[in-house]
Amino acid sequence: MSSNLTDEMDKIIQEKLGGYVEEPSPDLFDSIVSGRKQSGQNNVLTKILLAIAGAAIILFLLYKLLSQQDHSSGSLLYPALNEQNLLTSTPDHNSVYPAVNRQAAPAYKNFWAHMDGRIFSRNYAADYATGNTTSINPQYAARNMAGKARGKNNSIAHTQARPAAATRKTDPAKGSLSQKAPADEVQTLKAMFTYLVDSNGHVSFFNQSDEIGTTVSYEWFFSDGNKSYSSNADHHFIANGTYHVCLSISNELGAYDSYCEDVYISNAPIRKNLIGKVNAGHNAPDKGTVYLIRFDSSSMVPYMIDSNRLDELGYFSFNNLPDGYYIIRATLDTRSMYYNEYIPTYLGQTLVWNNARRYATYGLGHHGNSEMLVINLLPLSPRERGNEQVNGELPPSNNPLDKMLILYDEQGRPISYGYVDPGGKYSFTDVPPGKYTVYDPRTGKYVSYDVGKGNPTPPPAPKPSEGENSSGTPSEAGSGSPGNLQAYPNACNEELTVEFDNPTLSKVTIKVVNPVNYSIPLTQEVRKPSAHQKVFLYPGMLPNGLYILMVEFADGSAPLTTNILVKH
Amino acid sequence: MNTPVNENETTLIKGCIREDKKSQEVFYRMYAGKMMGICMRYAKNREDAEDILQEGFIKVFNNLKNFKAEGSLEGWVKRIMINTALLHYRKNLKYSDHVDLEYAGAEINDIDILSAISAKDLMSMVQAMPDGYRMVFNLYVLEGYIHKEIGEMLGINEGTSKSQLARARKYLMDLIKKKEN
Repeated sequence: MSSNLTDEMDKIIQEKLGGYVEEPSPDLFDSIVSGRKQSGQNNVLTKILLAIAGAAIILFLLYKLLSQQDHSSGSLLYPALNEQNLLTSTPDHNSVYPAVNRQAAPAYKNFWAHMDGRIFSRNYAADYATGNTTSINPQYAARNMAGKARGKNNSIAHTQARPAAATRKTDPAKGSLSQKAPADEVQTLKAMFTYLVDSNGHVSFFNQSDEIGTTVSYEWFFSDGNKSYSSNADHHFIANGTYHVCLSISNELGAYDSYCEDVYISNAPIRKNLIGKVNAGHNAPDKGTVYLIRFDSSSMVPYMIDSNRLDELGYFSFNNLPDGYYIIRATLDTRSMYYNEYIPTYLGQTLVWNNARRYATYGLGHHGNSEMLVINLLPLSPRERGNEQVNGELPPSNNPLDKMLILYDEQGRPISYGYVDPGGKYSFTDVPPGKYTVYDPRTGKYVSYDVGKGNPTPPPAPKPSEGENSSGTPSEAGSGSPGNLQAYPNACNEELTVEFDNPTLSKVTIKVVNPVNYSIPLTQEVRKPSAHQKVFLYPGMLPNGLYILMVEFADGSAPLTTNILVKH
Repeated sequence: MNTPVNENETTLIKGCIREDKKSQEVFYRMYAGKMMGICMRYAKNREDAEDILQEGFIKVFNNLKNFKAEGSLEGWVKRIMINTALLHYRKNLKYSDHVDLEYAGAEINDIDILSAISAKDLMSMVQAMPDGYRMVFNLYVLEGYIHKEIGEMLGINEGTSKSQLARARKYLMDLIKKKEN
């Protein structure tokens, strides 16, 4: 595989996968939150356990200390292997068991038996006090207590029905909740549900309420105007968004509770189709690819979600798109007939994604489900071939969709485009000697080159540096040019000063030209002719980018043009 | 978008550090889709990708207080995701040092086939690669690391990284050709 082919394939892979975006499952955020809580709780749990262990040791030591004191008053509690103690406390046994050490064993046994008894009885008492018993399922126990507390009206049948209700619940957290409820508190209904967002806006809701009573009624509000009255509900949301879903439950005793939760739907099945044609204006359908880029308007982040091949007639289609903003970008295949004639272009004929016209699918409802779009690729100017190269390097980009660079000639006409390699390097080959500007649509930055003139080897290109907008700027436009046309500062922002000679003292029109589509976003007429004119332009409202200044004379003398000007 | 950290991001980061759930959710939604896209490339399937994404976001939220507003926030989140992905598969990674650069020679035709494949299909082909190939392939072709850096990240030598990449490319081309036929 030649390295050129490898590079080309890498480029295609970068275009397709570099900006690839996929929505994770809607409940993943909750998993993250609970995942973090769990790890936090684990830490807390460890600390608590350590604290308990520490306390137990201290208690034991205290106990030991106290027992020692007890022992001095003649008790047999202390289990020490102390010959003297044993001899004094059990003088009768001393003759039966001559070895002191053998006497020690029964003393220990006695001690542990004693301890066990105490621990056991204490626990038992504690259990009794809270009404908790280890032999019965705590959920059932708590419910049983609650049932008893409610009074004599509870029939046996009623209490028998309850274990069934309890086992229906699977959430262990709920069990511990009911366990906490004191026996003497009258338990009320507690509404609760969980849900699962399936595909296409379909959501399954699971009733998780604590239910008391034989007849519990349910009412689900989905906040899209729909309701349901079953215990577990299924619902289909037809539009994306956040829904405040509520479950209200009530029983025959008049108890009532409700619980609400926001349900986030991002996969609802209201879908639109975008059908389009590429290069219809140039009447040159060709093999190519169209990329669909989702534009998240809240975070201002574009990401690619799909790509589509052009058919023989130059058509593409993206179907079943959810509501939202999109940017569409069309490119021709490297091997296509017109590959060298058109620049990959975003919908709306701009090269920079953040200036590309975003296409909102919200508006499509009025026209049915499909909308027709036309993308006209921007043409490259025909160029001469030469033996020089324009080489440079840019900081690597995070967004592979924007790795394209455009080479402009001295007149500001786009003559070629290429891509930055993964290391940030780029190269335009086969150009004749001359002045060039390389434009990085991603940042709106540019760098100028002067290659081959009188030099057998191309001089190294000035390297642009990220973050310094004004570094590497081309020399001021037009110095030494015909008519002494000068425009500065370059790059400009709010104000641009233009100076030129006007020997015929004719009326002058200054035009700011967009070199990409030859539109004229700004014109200024100069009414007061003088031999040397100094005019101020205010390009503040122009979009950032590259422009050319054109000075036209009313008497028909040749117009003057500047080099590329940068508005930033 | 490439500016290191703007004011909104700072406010958001502060909210997340305060454990404000709304901020965390906004933060999450800001990056979820994009980062999922990255995780998909490193994972074998969607489930694994979600696992990596979840683990990655937990790390992000736990470490956000350590984020220095020097580089871009997105770059930082992305690096965490990639590191999480590498850790996820590290135990499965087996590399062969046998350098075998024999290709089924790619032809110009292959480029057209590759351009014709949808992003989704290409993604599933990348996911089908053996773990070791996939890691090197992603790091080199899509993240733009050089072999030396990849070697350091994966604890392998530079040559191994090169041969893994060559194999990964061949593997991908074979898959693509298979699809074409």
